[in-house]
Amino acid sequence: MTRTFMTRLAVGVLAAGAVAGTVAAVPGVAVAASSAPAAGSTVTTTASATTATTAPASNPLCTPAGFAAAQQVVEAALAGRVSALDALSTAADNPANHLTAADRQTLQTSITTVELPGIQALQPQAQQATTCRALRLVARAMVVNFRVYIVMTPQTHLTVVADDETYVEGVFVNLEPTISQAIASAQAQGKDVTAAQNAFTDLKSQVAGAQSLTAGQAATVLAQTPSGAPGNWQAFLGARTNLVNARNDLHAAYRDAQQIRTDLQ
Amino acid sequence: MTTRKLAVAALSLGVAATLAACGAAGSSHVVQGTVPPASTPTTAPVTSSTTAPQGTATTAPSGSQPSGSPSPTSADTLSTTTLNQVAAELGTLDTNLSTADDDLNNPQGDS
Repeated sequence: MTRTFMTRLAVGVLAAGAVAGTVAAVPGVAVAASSAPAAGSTVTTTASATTATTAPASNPLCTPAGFAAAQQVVEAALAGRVSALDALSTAADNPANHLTAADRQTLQTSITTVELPGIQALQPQAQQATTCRALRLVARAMVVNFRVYIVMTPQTHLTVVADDETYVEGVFVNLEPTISQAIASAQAQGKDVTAAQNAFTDLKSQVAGAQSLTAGQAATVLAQTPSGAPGNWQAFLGARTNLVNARNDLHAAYRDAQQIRTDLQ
Repeated sequence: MTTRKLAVAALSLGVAATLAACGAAGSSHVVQGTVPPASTPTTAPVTSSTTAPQGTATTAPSGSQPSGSPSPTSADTLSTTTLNQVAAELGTLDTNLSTADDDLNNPQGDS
């Protein structure tokens, strides 16, 4: 898994490198590649292990003859980031999720007042560039200053998940007294509530476990910044592991709730 | 109604009331997943309903930010509705987690 992930990431780096590399050596890409995130995660992921990001073919050098093509590549890369940021803004602004007000505001501020205007400001610079050096500066800023794909994207989505899990945990916690009371009432009537009680004990344990796993995850994820990349990749991987495990706990709690209801009927 | 049935009904109502107070019914995907969910969302059970007594109340989860107004729920369908709502929340959670998972599995480039 680790090897596969590293390989795929390297391909991803190459893909981006092809964009910036089109305009010559790209320091930002070199930095990213030199400390590519190690997989390290024990999470079983959904993506196919064989799925690879296809690196676009491009000339790694910006030459006078190839300048126009290089310029188009950079402009396309900028446009792609604008689209990605728009999607992230929509996700952060979606009232259907359970982002806390503070987390929603933090994400929106970062996306709409820093990232998006920053990338958009580079677009005319790329269009107006007339030399490889100028184009290279734009490409580097696009990659290094904003980190749309390896910071902003996982940051937004992981924060949504963390807050969603916190919400579901709250639902379960508030059910616990009601469940306890129902079990006690059934027991007082002579019903065997052993299974229900065991399920309830497990439910509480699962919810507590989920709470422990999600505690502080949103804050940790939100603390990551573009300047911390690629070193902060591990923070995202760690958060993912905790959130996946918390999700599993919540599913177990749900199964317990089903069991309790069945047992008390 | 027997006391035992009353207890079951009270439990069902409590569960439903809590979820309704939280506005949990209106789940929807924040971001469309680009890969299959990390796991199959829990399937809500289909069960018979119970009649809930009036006056049972629960409180909304602390620390959450309800995003929607509570919707009136028929006492006859509280049990199924409640667990369906929990299942829906977990299904949405799976989808969102899958999206985040995909971000990390398939980073687009180095930025």
